[in-house]
Amino acid sequence: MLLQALQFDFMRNALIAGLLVSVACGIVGTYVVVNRIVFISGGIAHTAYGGIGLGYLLGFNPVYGAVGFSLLAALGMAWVQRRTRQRADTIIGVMWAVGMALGIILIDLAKGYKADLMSYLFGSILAVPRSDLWLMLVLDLIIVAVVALFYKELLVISFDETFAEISNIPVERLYLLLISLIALTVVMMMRVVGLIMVIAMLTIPAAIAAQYTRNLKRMMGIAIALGAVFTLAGLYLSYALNLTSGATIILVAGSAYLLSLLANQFRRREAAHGQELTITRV
Amino acid sequence: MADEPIIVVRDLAAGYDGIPVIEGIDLDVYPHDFIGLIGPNGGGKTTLLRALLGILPPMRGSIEIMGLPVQKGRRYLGYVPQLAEFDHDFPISVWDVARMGRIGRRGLLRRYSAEDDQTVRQALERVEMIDHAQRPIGALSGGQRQRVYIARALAADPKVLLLDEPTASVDPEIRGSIYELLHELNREMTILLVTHDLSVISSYVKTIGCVARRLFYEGAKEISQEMLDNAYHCPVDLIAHGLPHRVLPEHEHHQH
Repeated sequence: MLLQALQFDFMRNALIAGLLVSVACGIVGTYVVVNRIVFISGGIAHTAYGGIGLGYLLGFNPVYGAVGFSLLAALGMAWVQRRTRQRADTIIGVMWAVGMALGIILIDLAKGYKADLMSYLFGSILAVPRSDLWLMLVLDLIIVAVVALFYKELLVISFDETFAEISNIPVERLYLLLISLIALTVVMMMRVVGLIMVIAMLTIPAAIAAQYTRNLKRMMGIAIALGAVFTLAGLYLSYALNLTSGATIILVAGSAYLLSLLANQFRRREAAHGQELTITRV
Repeated sequence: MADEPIIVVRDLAAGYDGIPVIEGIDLDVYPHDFIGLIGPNGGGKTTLLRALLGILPPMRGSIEIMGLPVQKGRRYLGYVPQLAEFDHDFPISVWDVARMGRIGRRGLLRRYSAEDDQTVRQALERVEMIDHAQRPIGALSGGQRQRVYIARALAADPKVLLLDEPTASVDPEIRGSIYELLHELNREMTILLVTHDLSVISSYVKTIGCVARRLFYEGAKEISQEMLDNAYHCPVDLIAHGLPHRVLPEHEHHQH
């Protein structure tokens, strides 16, 4: 049935989009998870909706609006987090909601028929045009290049920012670069799972990977593979069962995460039990 | 002590939000010093370290390291933070942690060299952690982790080791071995540490001082009556912990 489905252009495009997005998700998601900046990433994703609204109002491609807004949100939130001594999470939470509200109001103000508005919120991997695939490929290349060039610095900054600073690494600029990569990834994933669910696809593959390796590069690799499996399985299920593709992908990923958490618990208990047994035997 | 001091601090004030935590700090650190700074929580021990590392800009006064301003001079410092500051779920190996010590010696876009690897290897051998090089940092005990962070500092070829509470999250029986290691390292380099762990500090450090908003340090092994009087909190702490005789002069009155 899958082969049959692949006869369709849109299905092939969806498949390629899923694979391209998995690369960005796996690499950037790994940094999001180890740096514990899931909340900021969620904020960036939702603020991007403001840009969608602006695109509708002024009549340009909403994707560009989303790129602009998510980059601005990313830099703003990173600045808030690093510079203010206020409660950063409160401010980020407010920006999150305000960005979303702004988008809704701007769309209200826009005249005429609002084509595929929902697709930005909930994703529409089946409607990814070929031109978007090229954009995704370029974004993937940018992400891979940046991470390859600054891997050793990003590792130190993620692990021990103070040490990075006293080693005279340009911590702030590199951190802003990393946050900008998150923003680009968010826009890329918007097409596949939608802004509302971006955060799940960004974190779940990396979070599962973290349970099976203690090596950052391997974690990225596993996360990429898992992301690909989840999007493809979700895509197939949504096709077979006639369900919304973005939500199906997220449910597949979420179920896998739950299973891996349970398996991990079980393994630990098993290990603890095993230790107890040896102790009693001694 | 004919040598030039490595670190010179003059009339330093530093703090947060315009409110100084420490002030009027004067300190000279000479080669091969082994200084232990004690003090109450909130007394400014960590604030002083952060100022020395150039992470916290001074509100007043000056700091020079090897005759250079902090931002440049800190390349001669090897910093060992408190263990509690780390996320030990972080996916990273012992080797990769220790190698971070070399990053200040390599520019952006430059790979670590074979020479870096050699230095990292020596640092890990020095702290007896080379056999654990490929293990994840999270799999180690507190004492072992502390050794790895010391190796990371050593990998930067420092003149001075700065340690923040080096034994705070370490099992009591391991503490002695950490100080033993520092004692050995002191033959080649200067050591400055802050701690409230008085029981061990007194038998290893050469000189002792007290940070309680001001710094009471006279380059002496003993805490003087004046220090006790000035830094009210310190003696309370000292006496409460039942300190060894060597720290307090014999004629001390214990009626605080």
